[in-house]
Amino acid sequence: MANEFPFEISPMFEGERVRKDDMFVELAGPKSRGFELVRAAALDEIDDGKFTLIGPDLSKMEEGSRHPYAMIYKIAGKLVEPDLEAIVERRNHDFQNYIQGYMHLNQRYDVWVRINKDAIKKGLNSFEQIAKATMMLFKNELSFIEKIEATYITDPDEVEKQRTDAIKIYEARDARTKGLHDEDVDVFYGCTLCQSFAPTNACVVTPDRISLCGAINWFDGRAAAKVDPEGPQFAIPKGEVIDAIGGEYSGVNEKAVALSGGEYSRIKIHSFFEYPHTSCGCFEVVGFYIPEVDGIGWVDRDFTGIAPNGLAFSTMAGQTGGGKQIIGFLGVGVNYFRSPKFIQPDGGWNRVVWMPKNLKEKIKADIPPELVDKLPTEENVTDLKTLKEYLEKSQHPVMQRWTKEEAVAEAETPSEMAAPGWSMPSPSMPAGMPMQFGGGGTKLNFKNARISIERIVFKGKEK
Amino acid sequence: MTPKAQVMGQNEEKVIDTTRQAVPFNTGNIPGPKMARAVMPAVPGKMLAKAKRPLLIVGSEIDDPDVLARVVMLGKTGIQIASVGDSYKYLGDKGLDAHYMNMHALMSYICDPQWPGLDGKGGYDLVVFFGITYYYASQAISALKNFSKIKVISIDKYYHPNADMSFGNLKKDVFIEALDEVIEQLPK
Amino acid sequence: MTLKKGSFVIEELENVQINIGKIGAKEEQIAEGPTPRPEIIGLRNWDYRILDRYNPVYTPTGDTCDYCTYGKCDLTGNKEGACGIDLEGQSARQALMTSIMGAACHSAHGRHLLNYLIKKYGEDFKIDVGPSNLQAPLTETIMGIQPKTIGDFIPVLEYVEEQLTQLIAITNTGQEGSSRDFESKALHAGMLDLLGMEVADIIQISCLGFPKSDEKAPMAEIGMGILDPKKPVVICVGHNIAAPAYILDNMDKNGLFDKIEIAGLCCTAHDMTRYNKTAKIIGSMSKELKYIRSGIPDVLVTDEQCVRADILKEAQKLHIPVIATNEKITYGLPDRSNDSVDEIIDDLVSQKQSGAVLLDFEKIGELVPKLAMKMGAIRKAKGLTALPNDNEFKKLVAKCTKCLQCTKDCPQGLPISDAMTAAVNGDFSLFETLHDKCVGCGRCDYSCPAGIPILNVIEKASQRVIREEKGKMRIGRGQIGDPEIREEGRNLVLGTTPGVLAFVGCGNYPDGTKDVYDIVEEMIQRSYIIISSGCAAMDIGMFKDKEGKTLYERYPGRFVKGNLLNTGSCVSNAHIAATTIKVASIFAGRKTKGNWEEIADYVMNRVGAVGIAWGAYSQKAFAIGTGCNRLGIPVVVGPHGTKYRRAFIGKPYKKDDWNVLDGRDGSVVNVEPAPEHLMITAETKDEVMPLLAKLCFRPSDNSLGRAIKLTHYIELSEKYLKKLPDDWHIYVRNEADLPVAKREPLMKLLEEKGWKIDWEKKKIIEGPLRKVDVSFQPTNVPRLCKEVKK
Repeated sequence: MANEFPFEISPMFEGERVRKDDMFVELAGPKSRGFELVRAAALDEIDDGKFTLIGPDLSKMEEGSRHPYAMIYKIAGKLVEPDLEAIVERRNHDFQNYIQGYMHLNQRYDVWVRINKDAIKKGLNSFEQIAKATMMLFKNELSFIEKIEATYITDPDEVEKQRTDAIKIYEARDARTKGLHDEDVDVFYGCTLCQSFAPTNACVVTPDRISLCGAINWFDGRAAAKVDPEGPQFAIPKGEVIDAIGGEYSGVNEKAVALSGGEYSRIKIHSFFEYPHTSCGCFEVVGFYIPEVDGIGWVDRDFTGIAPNGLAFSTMAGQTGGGKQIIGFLGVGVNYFRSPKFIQPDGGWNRVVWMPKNLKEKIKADIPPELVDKLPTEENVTDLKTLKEYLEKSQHPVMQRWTKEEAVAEAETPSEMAAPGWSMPSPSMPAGMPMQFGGGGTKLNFKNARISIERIVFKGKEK
Repeated sequence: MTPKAQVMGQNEEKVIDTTRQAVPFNTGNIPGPKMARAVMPAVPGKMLAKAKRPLLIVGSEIDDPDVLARVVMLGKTGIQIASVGDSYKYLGDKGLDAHYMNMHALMSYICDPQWPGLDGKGGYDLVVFFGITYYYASQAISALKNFSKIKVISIDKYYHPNADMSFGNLKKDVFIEALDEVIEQLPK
Repeated sequence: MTLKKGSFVIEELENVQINIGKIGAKEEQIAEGPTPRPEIIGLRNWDYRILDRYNPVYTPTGDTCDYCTYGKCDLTGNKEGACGIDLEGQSARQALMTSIMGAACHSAHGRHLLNYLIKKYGEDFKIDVGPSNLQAPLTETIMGIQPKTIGDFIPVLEYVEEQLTQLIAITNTGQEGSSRDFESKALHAGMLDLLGMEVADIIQISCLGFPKSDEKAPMAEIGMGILDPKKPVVICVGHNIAAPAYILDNMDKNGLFDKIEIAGLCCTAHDMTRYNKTAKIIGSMSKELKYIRSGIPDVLVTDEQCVRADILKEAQKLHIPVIATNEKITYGLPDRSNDSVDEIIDDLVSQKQSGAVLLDFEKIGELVPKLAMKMGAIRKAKGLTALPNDNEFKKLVAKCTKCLQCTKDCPQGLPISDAMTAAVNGDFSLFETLHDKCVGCGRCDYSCPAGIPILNVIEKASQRVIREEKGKMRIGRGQIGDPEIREEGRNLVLGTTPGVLAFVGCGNYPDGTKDVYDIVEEMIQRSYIIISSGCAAMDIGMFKDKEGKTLYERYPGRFVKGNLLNTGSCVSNAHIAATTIKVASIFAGRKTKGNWEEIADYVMNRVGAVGIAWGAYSQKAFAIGTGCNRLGIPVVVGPHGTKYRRAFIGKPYKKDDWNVLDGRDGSVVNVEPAPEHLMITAETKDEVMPLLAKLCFRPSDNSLGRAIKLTHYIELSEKYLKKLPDDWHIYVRNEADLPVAKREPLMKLLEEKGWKIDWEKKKIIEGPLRKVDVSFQPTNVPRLCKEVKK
């Protein structure tokens, strides 16, 4: 196929790195300044495909030099709105990396670009070529862009001037994202992308609950639904609010039946114990109920040790996922800890009783400051006994849930524990969790028992 | 590239004898009682000329320029070419009726009377091949030998016991001359 | 005190502690699921689903059958022989036999290890393979049980052994008459192979301290040029770590690693490095004869599998004693297991005996280093080698008459006489090229009428490259851990990872070892996940880039896009297949216990993984491939693979072969051919790369995944075959499936094919086979559908 550009464009160049010795020029980056920005505009404001350059072009740059660099795109279309700007902007990174010999790192005002000497040899001599290729990719993938224009800036003063404005725009966007909550919108977005592997899983993406894999937030869902409303991301009108705290909506429930193939019919988006949101399998963290302290512990994927309940991440993760509603275990993304509605019907952070140190460090900023020291990790607590002691000592709010009587470990036979995962037994014994005998003074009374012994081994000298 | 073929006139003395050394090129490759009849170039040539819908199969060993030139000449007489292995990269720009196909799959499809052929216009009545890795071709065509009725002729420089007819093991210059003689038999 | 059977009363229990161990083996091990422990035809319906779409294609190596005394029967043209079997049946029977042999190899290896490890560590030794919920996915899926200790594998191997006995019986004259059912039984044998391998590898990983799903396993040195030939050299050949572990322990304990070089050939090398990372690797089976002839080894230790039959003969010529440590290979040597170490050493050093069978591991551990020290001193002084010296070399190459008999006998048809001519003129470059392509079989030695010992000549001429033959291989990591699979799920769904390619198998490459390096390099840059094992894993590490780095050093070993993993020796292949089972369990929550058909159905329709055994030569490789086929994983073999006599090739032109059911309502959906074939060969590496990309398509692909897969299929075909594939459009279901960088030109081409395009909306209106529906649940199994429409 004929190629109008002097470079190949393919996802195979995504990971290519341009090293210092191989680079023709470096643009923006830690030793210079730059930014990338997408702005929505009206259809009549844009000359489709137009490219403007402010400052020296690539052909005027010296080998080995470094320059400030800004890329500004204006997009227009019937379906284009300011909320889509960030979505389109993030794609600049992906698309530009498709260009052979062009490396794009980071985003926003951290962008860092290097162009390979080989690319110049092959005929790359102007930013117009880069911009045109990028604009083509934007239009190919995001069909709501009817017109697009690009302005690249390499003039230091101009970059500086516009950068200040750009940063204000980013801040406004972040404020909007932070300030937007479930109750502020009428529509959530569903994502069924991973149904190719997990047939009954569908994520309900809301302003307060980003997708499990972290790839789709509410704005992404909105953009994708505009591109293809019949596609894997689509609008879910909220409908009636059935439970504001738990996050249950009539519109969502309706969709749940359809999307899960009847696997489940109700979802409480923020609940751990009742009709929880399902997961496919790629969740970063699994929450597990600890009946002995009526609290919820969390283990992340990278933790190689054992949680206080004696189980490892993989074992617990294996109890949930697969697009099924399981009570007692919940798979979430790390970003869900940052949600203001984090398991709010179940007590939110007041119910969180344990997590590995690395995970705690990662999300420290989101833990209510008064709870930070009350939350133990594997450094202070490794089993249920020390967990209870620690929580008592630190006066963790979960104590308020404890009754006066001691929690009693009930001896249940193995067959009860093998109950199918999607039923809802009482929260005291999560399905599938192996029983823990031994140690800690468990007493058994045998009455009318018949003991079958497979083998008797006599130890000692007598035969 | 001008062919080195000698024009076979009645007055010419030179005979390209392709029936010598008719033993399997790989010593151990003796499949059974039925092995290819060793033939002179005129035989496949005439059969190709007579066939209504012949298929020429060429493979990864056509990168030699002398061999490639003969593939192109044959192709230009209108014979459909199944280009197996990576041979298509030498043939794509030569204006031939060449189609890429995996050799192993091709064997399976030729054995299937329902196969519509490489161009969708139906099955073939003769298979001729050369320029394919020896043991690969030998093994693959045992499918045609045992599970189809189609006639298979090797005009390669190896003796192919599983073909119906084959040249013996030839030195390269004799091989090229033999190919030229085959081509001579075909209508231009 | 005698205890009889019956019931009795315990009147008092004072100060009694009751430890409840196995609460009745039966209860613990209740096999669950629809088809636990399937019998010979237990999964035949599933096999038929495979066979009806991927028709067996036979390319017999011989047209006669000489099995029984009625023969030899001529079956040419698919005639029947004396017992009534036709060529198709005989070919299918051979497929069964080959699968059985492979399965038996790995299962017997597992049995040998299991017996030994239970004796040493006890039945209750816990299994530990790393972070994994399904510790033994194949065992769970086939047996319906979840093993926790190595003793739990006893009934597993008993099952395998029973099934294999039944299957072998079926290969006797006068058994099965249907080639279709022979193939089903071959698939059964293949599945048993996967199971036997899993047992073997899990128990050795658990008991012998092997890396447990360790993506950061260290590098091992590999190559013919890595050892210091001035030191005594111990070479272990084969697959079974049991004996070599004792040698390594002894050397460790006595600080001998500086004094003695110890390395492995073939999979024993993999497992030696997994056991003790100081061990080194010479290379694959192709190096066996070459390395022995070099004269460098001072002691040869053999165990089992892929060991040359002429090791003793070759070793004798060079005064290298052979210690045979496994009953499977004994070379007619005396069994000296009950003799003292010093006695044995004396006999070997004095050459009274050329070797010994030694089955006592402790003795092996003690004897081999001692023997090496003695033999090293003696042999180095004598400078023993089979290779000619410079003068002899000159004379030998001059003897070549260019009769080409060596080329005819060479499995790769190498142009040896050209190299001879060049060498006469002092140019060794052609021989150096040959050295890599030569698989070290030695057939040329027998063929030369002038009596030139050709292999020795090739090796002599290649001394320069041999000295520089130094690579690096990441030590086998064992399983793929759950957290890695979970993390990678996102890439698989979003299409950022176009597929998983498993580079497995032996070293019978059509054009040298560099092929696998080249293919891996191309595909890994395209973000495919590369998992390797066995000989292929070794050869991948043999080449370096401009900066002197091997692929293992350039790319990390995590199960994530664009990474290169090595699971380990041949038995670790089980983990590659097991990863697909884990995907079904982790992402779709499928119940795995005793549920082969459902899991295989899931894998075939959803998991874009392909095996490539570019140099497969053995029965084991065929068995592994067949087992993977039964699990729904396609396999590509190099051109020598036609000699396996049977392939599973799909017919894309037969529309009716490509119907699946939508699990949501049982409706019939006609899909694009994905995967197009289940087992097929390719002639060259240029052909195989686009083929690998195509075989990663699956009916359940979402548009992101399909677009990326199509991108690579098209790009690889254009790069290596200089053409757009003829069938690329068949895989386009809507405009979102089109590679994003080529959308417009491709839409134009579709329009030329007669498809209808709305250029304003940039949408495809008419033309595709079917619509995209990411919630589509493809299945080949009617009972898995929610409501079957009648």
